[in-house]
Amino acid sequence: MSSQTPEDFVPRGTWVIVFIFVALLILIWGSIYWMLLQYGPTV
Amino acid sequence: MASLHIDKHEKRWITISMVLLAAFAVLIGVAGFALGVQVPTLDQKIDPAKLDQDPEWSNPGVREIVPGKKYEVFIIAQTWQFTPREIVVPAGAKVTFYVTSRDIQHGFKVLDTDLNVQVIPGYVGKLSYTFKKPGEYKFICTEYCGLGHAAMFGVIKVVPPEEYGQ
Repeated sequence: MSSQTPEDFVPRGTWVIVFIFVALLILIWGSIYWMLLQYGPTV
Repeated sequence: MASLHIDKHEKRWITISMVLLAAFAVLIGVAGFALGVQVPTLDQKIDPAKLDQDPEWSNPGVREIVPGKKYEVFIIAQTWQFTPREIVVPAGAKVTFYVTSRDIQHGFKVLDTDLNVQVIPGYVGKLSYTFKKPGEYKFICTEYCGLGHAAMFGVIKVVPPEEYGQ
């Protein structure tokens, strides 16, 4: 029987998925933002 | 009274989400207000049935405001063509487009730029742009407007300033 308490539990797998999700989010959002800036001002 | 318990991992995830949202909002503000990347506006109203009587719209095309620096372009969309279909402007000049529709809803999108506006009868869409590089920029209708929709396009020819008007 494990002596690990709920406070000790580290959801490493979840954090890996979160990291991938956040990295992809920043990458995709950043690429669109970069494209927008490359097109130039509209005013 | 018991306080609300939030798991520490959940707290981290909420923090990351909030930081991301704040960062994106700040960057959009920078692009819009500091760098001038803004969505087009509906500038004014106009009666589509009276376009031919309007001094500005009866002869759509390019107006030279300040030679080499500032131009205005009036474009009328209708099924299934833009008038004019070919526009010539010099590179490096600020070009302000005024676009309206004679009949139904169309779209005006200049490829390879972020010039994109809905063309609604009764309204004038206004958007400005500076074409830095000479070349041909095609513009298309982005709102399905019937059988000839795919043929509804035109071209903006951006020429070097020294060649403009020759």
